[in-house]
Amino acid sequence: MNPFPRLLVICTLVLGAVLGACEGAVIPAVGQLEGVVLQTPAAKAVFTLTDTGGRPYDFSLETKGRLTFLYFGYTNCPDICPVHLAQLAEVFGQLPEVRRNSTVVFVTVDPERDTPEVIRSFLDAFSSDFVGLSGSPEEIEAAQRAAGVPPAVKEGGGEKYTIGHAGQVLVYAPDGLGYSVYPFGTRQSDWIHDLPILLERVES
Amino acid sequence: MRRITIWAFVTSVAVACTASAGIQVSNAVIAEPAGANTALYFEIENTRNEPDRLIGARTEVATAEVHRSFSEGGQMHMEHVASVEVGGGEVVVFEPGGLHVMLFDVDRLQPDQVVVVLLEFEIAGDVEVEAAVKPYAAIVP
Repeated sequence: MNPFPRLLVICTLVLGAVLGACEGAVIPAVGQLEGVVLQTPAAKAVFTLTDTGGRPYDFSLETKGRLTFLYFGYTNCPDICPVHLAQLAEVFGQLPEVRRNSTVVFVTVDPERDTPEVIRSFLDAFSSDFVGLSGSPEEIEAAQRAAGVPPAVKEGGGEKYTIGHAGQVLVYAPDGLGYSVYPFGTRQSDWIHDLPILLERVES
Repeated sequence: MRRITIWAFVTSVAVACTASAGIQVSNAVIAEPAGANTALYFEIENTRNEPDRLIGARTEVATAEVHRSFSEGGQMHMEHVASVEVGGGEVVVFEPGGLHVMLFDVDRLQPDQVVVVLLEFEIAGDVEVEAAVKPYAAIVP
């Protein structure tokens, strides 16, 4: 990779962090978050996939100005994926202001088994507002790279294969920046603490 | 009336805790399925002095396998485990993000429904467990 674009990225991120620190004087500091705080805020991932209604979904455009949750998972996953989604649905029930201004986006990493109907039915068990996305394996891999998570890997054979995938929920504040991520093990009380703080981070 | 009360008490104790040949299984819950599969969680206590092993599970509502979720290389993975040792006098907890019994192609289950599962141990043999169906959000606070 040519070092100059990388340098440019670093400068931009540093500048962003400095500006972020200035803003911190007037709005709640993100350092008080219960989530895993990123050293440098992450820009919102840019990718387009297809939603469960068959329409193209430009992630950064569709979620602009929203408190945005991005999770890569698969519906056959019994132990990690549903826990995150169930917790968010439960927490939204307690924070109506957060719910009104949030968009939860679930991207399948198992397009082979997760048809749009399967994804929709899985998400509806938690909330019919949750957005489900799929695409070709290449598009889904590109989306994971854009979001800065290692692409999912199919493990084991036969019909009962499993998939190793990023276990954390990525969250972007309404200003379009990701300040923290939420690994498996995040408690509902952590979400309840952090989401009102992140909702305050709007573009000035 | 009194007989009903006693019966209810006996039943509730049975749901909370199942003991067989030194193996006690408690807090058994099945997550209300959102997709084709779901998971069963519980705690196993081995009250004897020698180790025993969980080697499998059976239920009428699904195909059951002992699985383990684990974190490696920045990702969450899941694998089938052939057996889980429970040392003498030890407790092993099956919980979200760790050991669990994976239930494949599970029937439609309703919250608070009670499902009978047989846990197969090497020494204790089949231990019958009654697991209550709960929403994920009630299992992971």
